[in-house]
Amino acid sequence: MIKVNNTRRAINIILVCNAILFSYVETFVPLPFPVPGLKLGLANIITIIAIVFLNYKDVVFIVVFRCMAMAFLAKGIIALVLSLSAGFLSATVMWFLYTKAYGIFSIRGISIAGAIVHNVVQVIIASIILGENILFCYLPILLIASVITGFFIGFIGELAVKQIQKKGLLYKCQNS
Amino acid sequence: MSEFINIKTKTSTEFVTECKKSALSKMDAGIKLVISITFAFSIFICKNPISFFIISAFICVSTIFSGISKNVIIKNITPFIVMILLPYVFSIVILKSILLFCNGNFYFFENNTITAIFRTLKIILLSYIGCLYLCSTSIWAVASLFDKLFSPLKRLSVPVSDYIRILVIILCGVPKSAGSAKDIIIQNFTSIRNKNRFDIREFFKTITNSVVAIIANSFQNVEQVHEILNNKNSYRLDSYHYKASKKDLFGVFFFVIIITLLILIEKNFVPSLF
Repeated sequence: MIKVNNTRRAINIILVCNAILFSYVETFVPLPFPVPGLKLGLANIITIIAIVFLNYKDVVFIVVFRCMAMAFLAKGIIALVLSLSAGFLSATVMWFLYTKAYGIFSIRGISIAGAIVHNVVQVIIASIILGENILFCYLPILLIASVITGFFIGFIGELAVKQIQKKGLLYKCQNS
Repeated sequence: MSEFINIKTKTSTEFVTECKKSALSKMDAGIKLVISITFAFSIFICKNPISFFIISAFICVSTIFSGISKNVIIKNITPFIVMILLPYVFSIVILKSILLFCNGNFYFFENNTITAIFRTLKIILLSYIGCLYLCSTSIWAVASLFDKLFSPLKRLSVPVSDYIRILVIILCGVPKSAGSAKDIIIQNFTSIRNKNRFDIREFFKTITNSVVAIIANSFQNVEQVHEILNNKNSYRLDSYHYKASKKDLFGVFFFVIIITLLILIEKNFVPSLF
């Protein structure tokens, strides 16, 4: 029993490492429409893959450990607060939409919803930290941009999910 | 397993860039944590601008003693600037532009804006203190210290040590996966580069292929990670023990002097000196 759990955990650890790598990779990918405060969110591909193939606990594990490791590696305490709260809530919303409303939302739609939640939470936390509501003026721009980035990430995520299914990569984890 | 790096000597930022062995990195992790937390709190408690200046000066001196390169500092401050500061500045610009169009009034610096700028500077300093701590402390020391700090949770059956161990395994696994991922990305993107016409469909297909190839490639390490997880002796956290050195005593001495100075300033005993 312990060994099965450890296999699952080992897969989670590897997915977290990949998510961290994608976060670094995206710093080298220029956005076609540069918006201050906006990232492509390549690491969310891993969240989408985890939502499709793993359970909620694993998704939370991946998001929480990714944010903590990123804070350790480069980003610091403030980024931890922002990314942990936004990442956790967006992953929860995406998980809820995937399990309860997959017929209504495709993976692209789920990714867009996740991106919107992520940006809204980040603006809320940032305005709490700064003690200013003025940041909400910027929210409409961020929302439009997050729809576009969410669509792109969802598109890549969807293709990645199909390929992973084809190759049977996460079959071991689904069965454990 | 031998490919995993030695975490007893590596600091967290060494994965990003090199960090020299410095006076600050040789200090005890516990003492540094206490000093960092006290300064982080004092930034927000202190009301006098002179106190704020003294704390900033102390942090500048600590940076010199830490031997951290400019690149590391920039890398740590950038997320804060990108995630908070830039959206904030843009929000001000948007709001002021709307006001300008509607009322014809344009006052960029209002009282609350100046207060917010001062608060932002404090948050940058707070973030920077965290950066200094992580840059100058080995992962092993931080992990052992956190294991000790959260030990009361173990009584509530929270597997704190297991979680910290997992975090350490992740931190050590990233550089290992980075090497193979880089090769995959280069291999996949050279075919796009060689073509004259940019095809967006092919671009996304290449990204997807790279993502799947990286995941597939990393799954070759599942057995290795599984082995590490099963072997309780690998990446086992040592219990943290306080070790005082001359550098620690020197650091504590300066810390006490500065805290005393800050208290005197805040209680209005020193303003005549300035």
